[in-house]
Amino acid sequence: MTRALLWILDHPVASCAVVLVVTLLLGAQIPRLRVDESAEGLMVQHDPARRFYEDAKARFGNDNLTVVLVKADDVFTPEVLGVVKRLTDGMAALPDATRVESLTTVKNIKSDGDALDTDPLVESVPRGAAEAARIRADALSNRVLVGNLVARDGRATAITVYADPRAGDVGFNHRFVGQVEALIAREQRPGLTIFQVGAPYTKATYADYVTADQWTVVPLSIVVLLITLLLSFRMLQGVVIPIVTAVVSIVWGLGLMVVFGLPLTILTGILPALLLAIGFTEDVHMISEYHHRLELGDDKLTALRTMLRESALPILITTGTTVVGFGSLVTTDITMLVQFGWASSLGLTANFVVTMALLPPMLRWWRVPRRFRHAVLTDESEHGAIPGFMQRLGEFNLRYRVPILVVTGLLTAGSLVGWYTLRVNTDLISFFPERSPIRTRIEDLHRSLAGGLGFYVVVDSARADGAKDPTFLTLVAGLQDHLAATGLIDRSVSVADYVRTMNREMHGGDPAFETIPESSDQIAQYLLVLEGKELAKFLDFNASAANIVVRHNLTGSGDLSALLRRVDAWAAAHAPANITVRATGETVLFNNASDYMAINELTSFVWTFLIIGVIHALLFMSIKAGVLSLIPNVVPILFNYGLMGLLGIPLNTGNALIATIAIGIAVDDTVHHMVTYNRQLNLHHDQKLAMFQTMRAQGRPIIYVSLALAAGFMALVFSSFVPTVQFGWLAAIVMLLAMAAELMLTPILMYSTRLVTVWDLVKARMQPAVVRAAPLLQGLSLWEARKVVLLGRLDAVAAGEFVVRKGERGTEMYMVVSGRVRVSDRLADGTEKVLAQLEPGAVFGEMALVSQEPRSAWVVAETPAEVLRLDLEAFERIRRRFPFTGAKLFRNLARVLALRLRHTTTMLIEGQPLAVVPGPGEQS
Amino acid sequence: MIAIALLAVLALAAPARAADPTAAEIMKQQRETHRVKDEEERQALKLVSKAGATKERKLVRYLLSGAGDLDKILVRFTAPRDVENTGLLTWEGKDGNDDQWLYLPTVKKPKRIAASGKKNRFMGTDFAYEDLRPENVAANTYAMVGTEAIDGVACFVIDATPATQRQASDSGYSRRRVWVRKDTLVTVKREYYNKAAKLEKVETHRKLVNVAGPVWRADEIEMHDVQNGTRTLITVESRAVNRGLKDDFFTETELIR
Repeated sequence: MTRALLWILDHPVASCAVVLVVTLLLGAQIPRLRVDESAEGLMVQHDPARRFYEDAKARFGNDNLTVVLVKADDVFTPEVLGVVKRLTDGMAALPDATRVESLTTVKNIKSDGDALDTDPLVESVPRGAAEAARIRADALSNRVLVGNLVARDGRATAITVYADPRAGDVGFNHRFVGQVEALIAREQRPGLTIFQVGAPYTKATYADYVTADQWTVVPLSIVVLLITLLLSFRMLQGVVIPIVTAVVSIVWGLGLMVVFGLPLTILTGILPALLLAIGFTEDVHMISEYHHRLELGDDKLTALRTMLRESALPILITTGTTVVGFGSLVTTDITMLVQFGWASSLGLTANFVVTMALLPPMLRWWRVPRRFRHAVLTDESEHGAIPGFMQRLGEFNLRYRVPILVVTGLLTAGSLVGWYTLRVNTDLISFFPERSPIRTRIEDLHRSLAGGLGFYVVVDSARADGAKDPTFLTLVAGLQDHLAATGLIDRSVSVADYVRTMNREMHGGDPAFETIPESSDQIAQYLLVLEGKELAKFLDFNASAANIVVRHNLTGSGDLSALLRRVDAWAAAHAPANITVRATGETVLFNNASDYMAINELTSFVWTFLIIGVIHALLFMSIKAGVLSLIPNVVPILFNYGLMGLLGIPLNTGNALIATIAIGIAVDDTVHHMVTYNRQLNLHHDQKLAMFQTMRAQGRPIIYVSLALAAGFMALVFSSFVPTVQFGWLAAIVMLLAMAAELMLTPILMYSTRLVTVWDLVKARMQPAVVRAAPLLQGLSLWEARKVVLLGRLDAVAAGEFVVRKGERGTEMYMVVSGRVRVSDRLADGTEKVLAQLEPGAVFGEMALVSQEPRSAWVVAETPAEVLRLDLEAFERIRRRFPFTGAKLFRNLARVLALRLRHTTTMLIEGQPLAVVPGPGEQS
Repeated sequence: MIAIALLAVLALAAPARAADPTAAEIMKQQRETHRVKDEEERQALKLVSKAGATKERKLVRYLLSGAGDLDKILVRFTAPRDVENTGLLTWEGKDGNDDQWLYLPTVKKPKRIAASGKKNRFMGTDFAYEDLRPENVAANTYAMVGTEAIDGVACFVIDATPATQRQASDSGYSRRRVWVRKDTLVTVKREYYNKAAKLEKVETHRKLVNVAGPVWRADEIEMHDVQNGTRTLITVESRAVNRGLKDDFFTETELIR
């Protein structure tokens, strides 16, 4: 990875050329990007409920409903009925329309003297007032019509159109709405209000709002973000490079979507914004690091090389976690989420490649910014507001460690209370502004007639002609009465209504006969007469099942779920075992899907979390570190959903993504923070120092990124689309909180916890067998050895550096952890006499523990080495607290001393030094 | 044979278009050729859903030819059991003003049906009432489209459109295309175009049988609703013509019997 980055730095032209070629190739694909505005992809794919819905559609026809409402002082005038007739005929002729119902089509079952009339109410436009009055009287006494196609007060009537969009017909909604709108436009006149509502209109409007955002607030948000960035860096480099890599990444991302056949949907539509937000985070981190190096006095190429070497690991980790986090969406069962998962994974990977390929060449070609050109700063804290601020913030953190943790704890506890009240409820209609046409129309339709939303309740006897059984139809009628009694629905129509009306009219219109006949033969004979296209919506082909068509105005998924539960409960209590009752329909499926989706999005975020935790645990070789690294990210998101719960904002498909996106960004900061901290810790072995160094190095990019994103998200509140506004507020809050957590909580947690222990490092350097066999640790259990090691400190020494100087006084002994050291003395003539070469596991300087005499020899590192330093105090502490371990330790120490004595004796006698004192690994 | 005779007649009457009788003349000739005094058919009706599910009904259909192309038709269901004896009596009237009576055995009293719905479908089938009656030559205008072989037999292809305002509003179609065999003048195929000029249904006549003299009938008629994907198949199980059915058979009294 590092090598690849350095290669790119050395071959800037080649790298840029490759990017250019790929960009042109992928860019050429973009015009072929498919736009999918249908909502089919929102449904759960392998949901058994979906199969049931498909089956219900095959049996009873599509439920894709459009209602055209015609309002007038009196709809029963020749003029208005003429309008209704023309609209009905016009819509019946639309290629996608499968069924049109209005006063001019629906069977008006009515007896007139001894004659029975089953013709539509308005076959032709009435010629005079008398005929219009007759139509009015008929319509208002027809239970199938009133409240369904005509208002009780006669001031509104509806034309309902069922459409059957072909699968994959992505432009259906806009086309169909446009065609209906054109028909309406021809009939608009004073005194008449005509408008359409329904599934195609809602979906098309939804798509319009999303598109409008794409062209207005999203660009605004990007501009705000760039301005914030420009103000932060105060140099062009910091803005131009991120924007170039972002734009190229977006071209790649969209091109790859074409290559992999992914359509542009309401979800994949946010990909450009996502790539911009997450993509530029890396750039800022890398550019900051580069500037940091320049500040430290490096020349351009050195600064770039160091920056690339330092950045390679964190960037690989952040890209990996983000790609996996979004990629986890492909395991869900919702097509649109799967597509989004693929598109975002591809796009983020592309962004990684583009950033890596373009950023080093661009920085290389760009002149070093003036600020860094001359001044070589001795102390970077002197320069710039942020390092100074970070220093003060670090001190503040240390001083108010406990209050900060307490406040965090309280916030978290409060958030959990909020979580408890958080509801899952996707209310598509509430996404539109209060006074938008779609909301006024829906409200108007609901008030003047019946809600524009609907679902089916399929009552199935599972045997041919089972629906002709009087008990069956009585059950259907009973369920309808129950639904009406809940007050939650506007209207329901079923075959039972037709049979009841037919029975009444076959008995001269006597209301006493508006009942289900007692004989199934009679029902069969009525149905024979009524049978046809109109009845097919309510009764299946072999009369085994009835379909109750319910109209309502429950726009929220939560409210609808409550109603559906009541249907289930009623069915459980009243339906015999051989009859099943089940609600279905597009709205029902979306309802399930939206809840499922919100939950899935949260799940993907949990996955991202786990992966990040694991990576950090591996990085620090400590599970504790993994867990700790998550806290600063969990807290803001917990707070976000807690706040939503407290404010009564329900969890929906839109805002559930906040977590995933916010985490994608916040985690980048955490990874950079942790990696830097880890490096600093290995360098200084001082958590406090490491904390300050990390804050100074990482403070700038974290603040820049968080402020820019928060400002960018904040710009979204100027949208007219409610979910965008909510998203803007919540995401901005999350970004700021994440920044606060990153700058205050992470350092405290790092500092307060012995995160990376000496033991971890020792274990990482030496094989456990070597540790156990080390002379000092012999006979100690791993647990005991760990206690001893933890009391020491790990020192890194460069090759040629002295660890012990002869004549110095010291109170410490050492154990070699890595590398090799040489024990030597100088003879009188000044030549060096090597006494011993020590390898990992070997100890030296132990004499100091026994007597406080000056050191008797020189110890110098032959290779870069790490040594564990233990002082007398540590041994004392062990002896006091763990006498058994202490006893073993002192015995080992005595053995080491005895051994040394023997070596010395041998050496004196033979006058020869032992060439090498082998490490314990070789002894065993 | 009839066709040859017809052509001979036409050749004498209008030498200018000797080999090309007008469409209207063919349709008129067809009506005359295949007309019987009365007719009784036992039919099995098979209804096929879009998904391929089927259900069957049986009925007897009696027809009495009257003056001025106005017929009387009595249909009585014989199966399934729950609709047995359900009957429908139609007296065709001038200008489409038919009289119709419905009899449901469970209701006992026959109900007169305010009939205006020739375009309505017959009892859940894919046939509209107007599809089931003989061609009303006076109410339509015809245009020759050309000739075409169907199953190796040459046919006239003729377009029929409503001739009058009345017919246009009574009919559910803007146009019908009819294939008439040149040899026997039997219709073998019809296409029905709805008011939006979209093809709605295709009717195919099969198992043509020579009933009596020049009279031919199809023992199998299939109607395919191409818009809905449904089909109705009529199979004639037995047929008798010119048995001497009387007017008094086509009455309410007979309907409820």
